[in-house]
Order: sequence, then structure tokens, then C-alpha cells
Amino acid sequence: MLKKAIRTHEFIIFLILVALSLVVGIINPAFFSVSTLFDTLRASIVYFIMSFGVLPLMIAGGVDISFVAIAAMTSYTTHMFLLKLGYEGGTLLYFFIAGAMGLLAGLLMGFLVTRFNLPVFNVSLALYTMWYGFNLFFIGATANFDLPQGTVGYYARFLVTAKDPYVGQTGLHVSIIYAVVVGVFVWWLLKYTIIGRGLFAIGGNKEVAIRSGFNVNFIWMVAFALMGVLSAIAGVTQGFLSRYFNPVLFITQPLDVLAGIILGGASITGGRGTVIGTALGVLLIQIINRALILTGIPVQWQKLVVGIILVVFTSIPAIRAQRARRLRRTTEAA
Amino acid sequence: MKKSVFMVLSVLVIAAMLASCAPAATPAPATQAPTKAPEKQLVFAAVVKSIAFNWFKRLEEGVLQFGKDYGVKAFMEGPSQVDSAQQVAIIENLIAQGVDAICNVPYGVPENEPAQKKAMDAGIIVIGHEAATAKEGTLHYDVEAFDNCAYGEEMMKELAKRTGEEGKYIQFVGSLTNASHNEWQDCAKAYAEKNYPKMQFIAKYESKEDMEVAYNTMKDVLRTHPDIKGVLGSAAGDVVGAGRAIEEAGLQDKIAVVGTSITSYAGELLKTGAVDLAMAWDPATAGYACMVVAYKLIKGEKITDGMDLGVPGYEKIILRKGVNGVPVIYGSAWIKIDASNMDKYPF
Repeated sequence: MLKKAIRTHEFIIFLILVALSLVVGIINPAFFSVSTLFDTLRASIVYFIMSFGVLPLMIAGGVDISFVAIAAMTSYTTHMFLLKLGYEGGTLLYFFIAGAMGLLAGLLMGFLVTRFNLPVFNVSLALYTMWYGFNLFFIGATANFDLPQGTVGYYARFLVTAKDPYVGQTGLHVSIIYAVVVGVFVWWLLKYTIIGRGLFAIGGNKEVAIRSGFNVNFIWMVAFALMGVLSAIAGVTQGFLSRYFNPVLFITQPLDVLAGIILGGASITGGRGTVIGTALGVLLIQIINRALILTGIPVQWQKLVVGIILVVFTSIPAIRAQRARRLRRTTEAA
Repeated sequence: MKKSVFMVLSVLVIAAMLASCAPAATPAPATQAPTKAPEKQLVFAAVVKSIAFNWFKRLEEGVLQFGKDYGVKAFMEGPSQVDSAQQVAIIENLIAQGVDAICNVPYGVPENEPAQKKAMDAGIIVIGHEAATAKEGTLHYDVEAFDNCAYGEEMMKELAKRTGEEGKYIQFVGSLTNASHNEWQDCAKAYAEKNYPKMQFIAKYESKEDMEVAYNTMKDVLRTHPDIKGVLGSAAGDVVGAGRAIEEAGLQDKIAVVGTSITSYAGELLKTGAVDLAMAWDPATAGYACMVVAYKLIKGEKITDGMDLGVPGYEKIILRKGVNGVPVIYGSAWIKIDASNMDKYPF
């Protein structure tokens, strides 16, 4: 049992995370602090939520990049709409309105994919462009810093605070709860529901899934709806954390998010992926980004280093798969 | 089949738009697609790094004002995200549409040069802004609100004043290929080395013109260099991101933050003191001046050292050859915004 756990992809990523943290921490001891942990988690929260939303789709073999645009469209539209109404309340209404819009956006995408049998990536490319364009053309093209009174201070609402000698008061932001709840929900969905089993079946082999009696279209719709809602939640959360709403929120991020999921062991062709692995992949990307500053590696190197690490880490599952295949072949031959 | 897909798509799109934005509907941005202008009316286009920044919205005001004042069809375009490739594509489009002049604010100067040259070859007047390092023959003129080096030095003086001319400082640039940002910061650094021997340079970080990046970077800088005394910012969001991290650390009185920004970005933090001074030029007058230069060239006028462009801050321009050969027009149009005068600069 233990041996099996050690061989999993998640465990390898976990080891890499630990090793990387050790190296950074040895170079800069300030890295080993509760506040660094809290800050890293804070920076990861929205990526956790988005990744958990995209993961079920990817398990079913659908690669989506429009989730960032849905996050931007729903959060920015909701904000500008409530601003116009003179809303001064709390954050909850934001999540409801944006979540409902995210649901519709997800269902629209699901409809296009299932009704016309279009490739997920193609549709997502179109919608990625469309939702950002929607923001810029219809809602507004400028970042907005006017937050309703009831949401001011939300950025500093912590579950636990830590006094750090360097960065002062910091803490575990309350929105980590969303990430945890979402993570547990998606984990449960994937593991214990017929929809979850269906997602893996579709990702493994769609024809077989259909013949096995899975309602493929329904399962797709659920996955898209989930992606839409979670993207919206991530978008609104980011708006409150960074204290402004941005019409082009996350526009450069979709590949970073997908890279995190893939690092976490999900297969871009479907059939494989876990919530834990995804969470670890997201954390790994965040720590790589921070490591460069904390270790004092010149910024000019940053892109190169991140690229190299991605190449190495993404090759690991492929190499392992190849080795496993070879092993199987030799045992079969024998 | 195809037709029905399209139909359904368009119906859905329209429905979604109506449903979600009806109450918030704002008039469509003034940058309507440039249609072929009626005869004789000149068409001037400004191309900016990205239209998603308040900064360039303000620049657009100057461009539109110029259009009104001079009877020229003037508009602004730019990618929705900062991206040289998309910017080049927009310039190529404008060439195809046959505009008379382009005022380009390149994200990466070298990446934009071939497109600018192509436009010049097509007979279009091409003026740059924030592109003083462009290669000869890739711009007719470049217009700068001020000499970048003098601006960087001014920034450093303001920072040193607030740190007691000592201590560690860091710099942010929007991107390491952004000519102006790097010139400001390199000159600031050189000035500090010469005049403030007790100030210690730590590093120059890339914010990718993203406040979140600046924020997270600043937090890690605080960890790595707890005794940091000063921060210089280049992109409008740099001091905002850094200032937020500093404010959350309760260090707004210990760390001086000076950099390029504007009230709509840094206003709140200027009030709390997390950002000490925002330096800027009014993008509206810069955009206006850029257009005026193009207009004068089209009318056959010569640009000369010391001439008056008729734009505030550009009454007595300095004409100099840029490092890579492009003639550069310098105004003296910098402004300093702090908590006391921020109401005067509502952009």
C-alpha cells in the first residue's frame, strides 16, 4: 500500500516540491516561515479554484483555455453592474451573480460542444477571445478600483494571522476555504459519482464510454457548468484579493494554469488526473516563481529557468509511461 | 449544418450580451473601426501597448481632442493585452487601410521596428512615443514628454530625499525590453552611484505590467532584503503592487515608494502614504503632441530645436538624435503627484 503510494505521480511532484523548497530555504532562510506559506497559498487560491474547475474537463479529454476569459468576463461585468446600481454590500452577491453568469457561460460552451460535436479546444479558443472582447467592447476597457464599501478590507480578512519580521502582519486568507471546499467537492465528484467515473471513461475512450451506457452529453454539460461556475468564483476572488477588477484578468495565464494541472499528473489527452496532483502542480508553479526572487536569480533568467523546469518536469510522466510500456512489452514477450 | 451552427451561435451570443450587460451598457468605445475616410480628410491612428490601461484611455482623450481641433479623423487602437505581436498586426492592418499617420507606442521597441518601417515605406508618417531607442529609418520622429535620463534622475532624487540618501533600493520595469522604463531606471541607478554612495542597488525586476506580479515580487523582496529602504517603479501599476505589499507589512513609513503612476491607479495608496510620489506625464498631451508632429510633417513643416508645438509642456522642444539614430523630440512635461495635489490630475 505504502509502496504503491510512493510510486504515484503525486508523490514525485511532492518530493520535487520539498526538494525545491529546501534548496530555496537553504539559500534564503526567510523562505522557511509561516508567512511565506500563507503568501504562497494566497497567491495560489484562485489558481486552485480555476484548476479544479478545468481538471474534470481535462480528464474527459477536453482542453479548455476559455476559463480565464470566463473569470474575467463574469467578475468584471458583475462588478461594473453592481457599481452602476450603487451597491455597497458584501462579497456574497458578487459570487452569486458572477456564479450564475459563469454557469450560463459554461452551459453555452457545453451546448456548442455537445450539440455540434465540436472539439473542445476550438470552441474554447473562440470563446476565450469572445469573452475578453465582450468585456472590452461592451463593459469597459479600464481597470476599476472602486470597491463597494462592504467589500473593503476583504483582502485582509484572515483565518489565522502570522506576524512576520519581514513582511509584517500576514495571514491565511479566508478565501482558502473556497479552494478547500471546491477541492473536496471535485475530488468527491471524480471519485464517488457516476459522473466522475463517466469523465474518466470518456477521457479513456469516448466510444467505449457511450457503449457502456454513460450519458456522455450530460456528463460534458456538468463538466462545463462546473468549469464556468468555478472560473467565475476565481475571478471574483481575485478581484477582491487584488482590490481592483480587471477586464483582461488572467489573460496571460491560461497556459500557466494548464501547465500546473499537467505537472500534477493530468493527461492532456484525458483519462488521468487527480485533485491532489493538481493542487501540488499549482503550488509547484507558484514556488518556482517565488524561488527566483528569493534566491536572487537575475530576472533575465526567469523565463528560461521556468521553461527548463517545465520541460524537465513534464517529461517525467512521459518517461515513466514509456518505461512502463517497455516493461510490459518485455513481460509479455517473456 | 454550418449555417445553423452560426445562427445558433450568434443568437446565443447576442442573448448572453443582452442578458448580462443591459443595465451596465456603456456607449461603445469611441475607437470605432476606421472606415475609409472621405476624400481629403486626414486619418491619424494612435497605436498603444494595450487599450486595457487607464493610462492609454487618457492618451486617447488627447488623440480625440487633436482630431477635433485639427479636423482630422483621429482614433486609437491597441491589443487587449500587452503583446508586441498583436501590436504589429494592428499596424499592418492600418497600413492596409491606408491611414495618413501612425503614432505608435511600442511595447517592445525592436519588435515593432519592422512594421513601422513597412508603414513608412507605404508613405505613412510614423511617429513614435516611448521609443527613443528605435533604429534609424524606423520612425520619422519620436516624441518624448521629457528626456528619459533626466526623468530617471529626477525619480532618484525624489527617492533619495525620502530615504536620507542611503539604504537598499530595488527597481521595477514593465518589461526588460521596454526602452523607456529601462532608460529611466538605468539612469537613476547611475545617478545614485555617482551622488549617493550610501544607496545600494539590489535588483531590477520585471512586473510584466501586472500589479499582482509587482505585489508578489515585493513581498518576496521584503523577505529577502528586510532592510530595503526604497522602491522605484516604471509601469503605472508597479508602485501600486509594491505599495500594497508594503502597506500590508505596515512598512509605509519605513520604505519610500516613488515611480511612474497616475491618480486612478495609485490614488488610495498616495493617501495612506504607502506610495510616496507618483511621477508621470499627462498621456493626453503626449498623444496630442505626437499627432501634432505628424500633422506638421504632412503639411510640409520642419521640426526644429526650440520650436513650440502649441501643447502644454512642449512649448520649447529639444531635438536630439536618439542612441540608434531616430530623431527625438523632447518636451519638459513631467508632473509630480502626491497626496496633496492628486485632485489636480484626475486620470
